[in-house]
Amino acid sequence: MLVGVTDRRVPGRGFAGRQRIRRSRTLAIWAVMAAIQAAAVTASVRAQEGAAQQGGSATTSAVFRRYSDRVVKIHVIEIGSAAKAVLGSGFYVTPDGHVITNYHVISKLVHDPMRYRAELIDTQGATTAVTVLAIDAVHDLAVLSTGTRPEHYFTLQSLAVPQGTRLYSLGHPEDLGLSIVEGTYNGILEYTLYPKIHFTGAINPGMSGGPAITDDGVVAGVNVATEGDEISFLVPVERAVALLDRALAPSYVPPPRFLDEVGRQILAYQDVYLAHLFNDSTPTVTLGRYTLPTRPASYFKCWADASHPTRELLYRRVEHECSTDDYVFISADQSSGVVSFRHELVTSDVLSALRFASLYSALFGAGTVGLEGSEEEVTRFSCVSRNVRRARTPHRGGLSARAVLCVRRYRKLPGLYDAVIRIAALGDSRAGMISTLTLSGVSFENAQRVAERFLERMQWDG
Amino acid sequence: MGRIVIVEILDAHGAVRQRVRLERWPAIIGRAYSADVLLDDPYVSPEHVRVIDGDGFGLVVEDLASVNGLYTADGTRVSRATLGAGAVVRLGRTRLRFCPASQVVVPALVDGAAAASGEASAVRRGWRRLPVTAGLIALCVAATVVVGLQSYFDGYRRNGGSAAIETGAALFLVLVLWAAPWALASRVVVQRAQLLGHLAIASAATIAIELVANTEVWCSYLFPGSRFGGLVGGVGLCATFVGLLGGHLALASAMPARRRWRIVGTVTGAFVALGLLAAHIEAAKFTNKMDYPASLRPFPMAWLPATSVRGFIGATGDLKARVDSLVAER
Repeated sequence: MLVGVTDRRVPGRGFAGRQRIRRSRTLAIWAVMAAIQAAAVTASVRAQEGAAQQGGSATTSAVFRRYSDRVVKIHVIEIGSAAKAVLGSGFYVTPDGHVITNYHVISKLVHDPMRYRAELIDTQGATTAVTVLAIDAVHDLAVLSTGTRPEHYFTLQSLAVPQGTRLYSLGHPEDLGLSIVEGTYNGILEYTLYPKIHFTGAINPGMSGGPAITDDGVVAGVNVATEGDEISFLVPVERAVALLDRALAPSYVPPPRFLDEVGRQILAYQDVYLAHLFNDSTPTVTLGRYTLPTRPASYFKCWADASHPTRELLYRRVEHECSTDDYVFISADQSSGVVSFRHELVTSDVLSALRFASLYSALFGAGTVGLEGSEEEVTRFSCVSRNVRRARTPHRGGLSARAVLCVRRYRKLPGLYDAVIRIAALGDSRAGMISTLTLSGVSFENAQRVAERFLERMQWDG
Repeated sequence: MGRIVIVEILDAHGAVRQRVRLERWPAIIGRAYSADVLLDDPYVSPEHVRVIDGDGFGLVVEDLASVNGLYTADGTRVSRATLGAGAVVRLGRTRLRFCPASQVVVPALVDGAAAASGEASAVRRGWRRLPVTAGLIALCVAATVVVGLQSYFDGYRRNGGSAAIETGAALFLVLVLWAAPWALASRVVVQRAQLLGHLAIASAATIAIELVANTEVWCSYLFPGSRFGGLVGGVGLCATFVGLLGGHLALASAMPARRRWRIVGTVTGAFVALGLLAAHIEAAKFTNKMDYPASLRPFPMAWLPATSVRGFIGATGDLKARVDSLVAER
């Protein structure tokens, strides 16, 4: 989950988390509680270790003493109720008071600037109004202008550190006051849509946007997300350097509407990550007589499972599913970059052809795929369905299927759509295969292209 | 005197059990075999009352010192009463109504079965009606079986057979509950309940609905991109409703066909309008669900109308405009 207090999402792990692209609130609350519990356990273990290793503790307190005044607390306030809606952290990066934080900390301000305002609280408790200067929605970063002139600030530069380097993450967990968390740099994650630092340390809600620094006070990354159990993520400092350079360039003019900028950035980003999805080199998996695409890129994770006939259910089901573990935060209920697909093989030795067809129809018609969203953010789905056939050739098996493409549009972000492609193999009287591909926050043209390539990678033999 | 009066002997519910013609005056009504109107009621005396022809229709009834007396319609015991046309009196436990012979009666009902065979009166009763009755019963059984089978083939869980029998039985109950008020209405309006007839009409409608639903499913399977299936379903359902309402009204009323069809047309029109309105409201509601034809049937692939992958992607072209217009809708 992202570590802004208002963010409720927990990326799924393994089969249990499948299909929850926008995860449920209950799960998220449990995850937050688990994270807090883990932090508490870690803290008590640390306390014991600290007693044994006086040296480590001394460094941590020195780091905290030296650099804590460069870290600030950020509140996003709902103007009507004058109550804070989001709590996050940030840090000074220029003598002119520019602050780096996460895009998701100030996303409400971007989405609804008439309803929200943001303010910064420094270590002395002084409050200053802030405005957004630049955003990088894909890498979850933002530069804020504050008008203050801080005494100290971090100088950002590219940094290469070896795995195992001790890092200190600073921020305001759960609004409990500025805290420092010791952890370890564990390299750049291999299987993600965009680079992220794997930080082993307990980052908690509220620390979003805070810096993770070396003991020399060099910023390595920006706190962004956690999965609990000390598995946390940082945005590499290079992304912050790039964004700051862009924001401070003399030619830079802030966009009149940042929301349009979010849309533009996401559109450009999805063009890149969807360009090669399900191309000719995509590996395939065989379920029954169906050959189907699987793991189209390194940042996908795949699982499989099977269920057997029970007293009640007269059919067997084999499932194979893959999804990106990653996503790009758009708003509390919307994200882009989520690509997931599932193949379900259904067979029965007991049901007659007509009864199997009823079962198959019911499974195919089960209408939700975990894409939630409110009326303010998205339209209803609109669908097109056809029976599709491709003849067999010497090089490739044939295909006969019912194909459905459903799309809905993001209301506030022109050009972005959610798309669901559902395929049901036809032609067998007691076997069937249903494939569902879900894309969120993509252009319509990309949805069509990916749907076509997804279908073209499928073939049935015999 | 030449006056002719009809005495109607009524049963407990007020229905006429017997009609007796009185031509000779004075007339004796009682249990005695010599009486002019002979009543089989142990509470009636052998010579209970005498009816005298008065002025105008004014018949006069006199109690002949009977054991249980003579009562007027409002329950007052009298020794003598003057009666108007259609007046009712009670003797013992029997009620009598006195009507002039000139009383107008309602037109005869048209007996469809009899008209078909061309033997109006003979077909009304007896073995000749047997095939019709058997046919009506067969229709009810067929509806039950069709619904049971449909439920069996629509299901995919264990114990599909017993579930199908339960569904069939439940349907039969619903049919009876549906037909009963119509039968009651028929009994009141045209004096004949015709429960079996109403049951058969409801059964035929049930079979028609199943047929329409299956046709719709097959259409949407064969042509998922067209609105043909929905159209067939809508038209079929309307036609079934017209048949159902028209059939019930034909049995339960004596109104002329033209008027009947006018009523059926109005009611059907109202239902269609309500249905379209509900569908329109439902379509405007926000939902995260996707709506697409999901019915898949076993069918030889070679005959299945299908397009190419490219053709399918091409067909999705107007989706963009469709969802973009939804944004403008709010």
